[in-house]
Amino acid sequence: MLKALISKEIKDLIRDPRIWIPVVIGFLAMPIIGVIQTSFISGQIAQSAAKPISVELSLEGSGNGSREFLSILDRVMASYNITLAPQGSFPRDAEALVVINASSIGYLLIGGRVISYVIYRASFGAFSTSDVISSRIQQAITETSRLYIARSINITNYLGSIVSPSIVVPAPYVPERNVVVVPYDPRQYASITLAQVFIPMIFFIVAVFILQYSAISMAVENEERTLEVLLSMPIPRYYIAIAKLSASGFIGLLSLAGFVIGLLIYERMLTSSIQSLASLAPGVFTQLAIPRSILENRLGGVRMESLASVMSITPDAAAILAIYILEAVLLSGVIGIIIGGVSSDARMAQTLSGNITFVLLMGMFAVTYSDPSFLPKWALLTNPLTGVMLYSRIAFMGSSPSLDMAISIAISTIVTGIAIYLSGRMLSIETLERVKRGALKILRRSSIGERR
Amino acid sequence: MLNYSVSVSDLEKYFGSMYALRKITFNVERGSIYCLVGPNGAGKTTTFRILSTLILPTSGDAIVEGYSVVREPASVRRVISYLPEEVGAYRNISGLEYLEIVARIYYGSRDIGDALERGIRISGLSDHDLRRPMKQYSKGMKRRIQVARALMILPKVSILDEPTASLDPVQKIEIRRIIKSYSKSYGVTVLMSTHEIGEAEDLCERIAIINKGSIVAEGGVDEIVRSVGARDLEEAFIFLVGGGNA
Repeated sequence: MLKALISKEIKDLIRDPRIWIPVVIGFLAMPIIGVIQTSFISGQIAQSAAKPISVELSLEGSGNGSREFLSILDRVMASYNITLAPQGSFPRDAEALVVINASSIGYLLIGGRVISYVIYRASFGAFSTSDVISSRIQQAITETSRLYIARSINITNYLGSIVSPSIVVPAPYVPERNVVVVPYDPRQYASITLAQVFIPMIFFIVAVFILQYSAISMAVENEERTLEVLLSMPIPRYYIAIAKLSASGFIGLLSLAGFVIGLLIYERMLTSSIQSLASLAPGVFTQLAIPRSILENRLGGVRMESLASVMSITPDAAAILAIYILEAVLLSGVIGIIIGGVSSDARMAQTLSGNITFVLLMGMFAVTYSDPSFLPKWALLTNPLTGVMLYSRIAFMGSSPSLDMAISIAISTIVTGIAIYLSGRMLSIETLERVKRGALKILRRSSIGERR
Repeated sequence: MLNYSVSVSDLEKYFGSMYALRKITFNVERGSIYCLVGPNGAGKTTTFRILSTLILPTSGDAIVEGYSVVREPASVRRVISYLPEEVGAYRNISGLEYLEIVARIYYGSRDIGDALERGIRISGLSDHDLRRPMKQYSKGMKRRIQVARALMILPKVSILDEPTASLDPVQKIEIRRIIKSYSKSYGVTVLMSTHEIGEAEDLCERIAIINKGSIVAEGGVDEIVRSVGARDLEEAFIFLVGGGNA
């Protein structure tokens, strides 16, 4: 019986041309965002390449020529709009700490390279612009090394022939976590950030599709008055809800396929944009690790972690995220059924669900792009629709779920259960008509009030 | 009471402060065709919606094949089929697919061949029409598919609200013939409503004339005509619902 019902729902939905509009939009959305975002990234990179920065400079060990090297570096840095900050100013005031291996300066004159480490502030979500600052410092060090060699052996006419005189190890420092990321590769960062933001976003978009499909499917039953026939048949009410959720889920998956293809195109766009950043400083993305002693001397209890581990998700956090995703999908389908149930036709359902979707999307963006410390976490985590977005950010920061989190997920499960129960109760002509009469009464009262 | 297929007692329905039914009572014999005749807004559809378990009465009860519509709605749904007065169709599925789905809902994994054949016969649609999506159907074709859907499953009680609405005269005669034949051949109790006095005279063994939520006359055609001293059912109907003289 359930199979027959699901088959009816899928056939009726999939052959409706209106259903394909969100699928096409889903496919086009990410490439369009990609175009906007890559131009935005280019703008940010250009800004970071020009803005004045301050750097704390430190010599590790001792060696011949250090004084002269530092004197050249000071002048070169000035030409790169970089000023030297007082000792101890990183990480609070200075943007970066440059540690130069003093003994390696001497190697420059016997065919070796100067080794330096650039530890720079990088916040979650702003690694790309920090990378530009780091690359400016690296270019300054490379140019200083060339000038040092040329002047020391009097070959300034051959300055352009000196290639790769320095090895610069970049190490982003994440103040929020007191972690230095080693080894660091901005392309890996782009991929992980994409996963962090887009995994929940994909499920959220599927949830929105399911909401709209369920609403339209239910409203068409009202419009064509087939709901009365359906409800007079020997079918358990929850079968009707399950059939509608299954069909909407199926179409939602098709929409997801379109969205994922669009996302892959977007990812390609974003990666090439990040790669253009990598080309700013050849050799900058070395896999050499910064010695622990340097970090411990300067940053005390700082931890060294790989990017994947900094932004990883623990198994228990992944389980909670999966529960949130399931709840969000179910809840949006149920909201769709309720919207469609009280709508007299598909147009009304589209208007209602469109407005609700807009509100949900605004909430999603607010949760995605706000600083988590400023958000009312308790309220957001007990609602599956906002919980899925907020928790994905928390989960990808590598923290394990706390007791508060367990309580929040329990409440959100109860919220979902209540919504499913209410939608089952609503699947009765008696209730739907009572709701419609109530809404009409309110509308009449408000229109009488306006006339007065 | 079990001699009756449908037994309605003191059924009352209010929508807010407005009444739709005022303590109506009637019984329908098993395998017979019973008609509710009345003007628009008389309470026919409300009665049928209560009997189909779509809405609950404010007070009173109705027993359908031994099951209470108030206490055992799920059991009632197993023995009835309901055809609302205004019902469309699923736009994107064909008539044949619709009949298959309905048969599958009632028969589960059992063979649906016979039921489907009955449905196709009742609908009277060609093979080509049956395979077209129902959004391409005329009003009459949709109605015929819905009548076919309601009768093909051989329910114990078929509740048909204006079954011949939207049909042309030839189709009306055909559908009336089918209703009569299914009621007699398969013992299906038919409870139907109509605006057409001729249809009621032709089809129904007993008639209830309903007006403003109350049954104003009930019985066989001759019985009702005699009771008001009218010449025919039409005159009796006008007398009873119009409040005038016959």
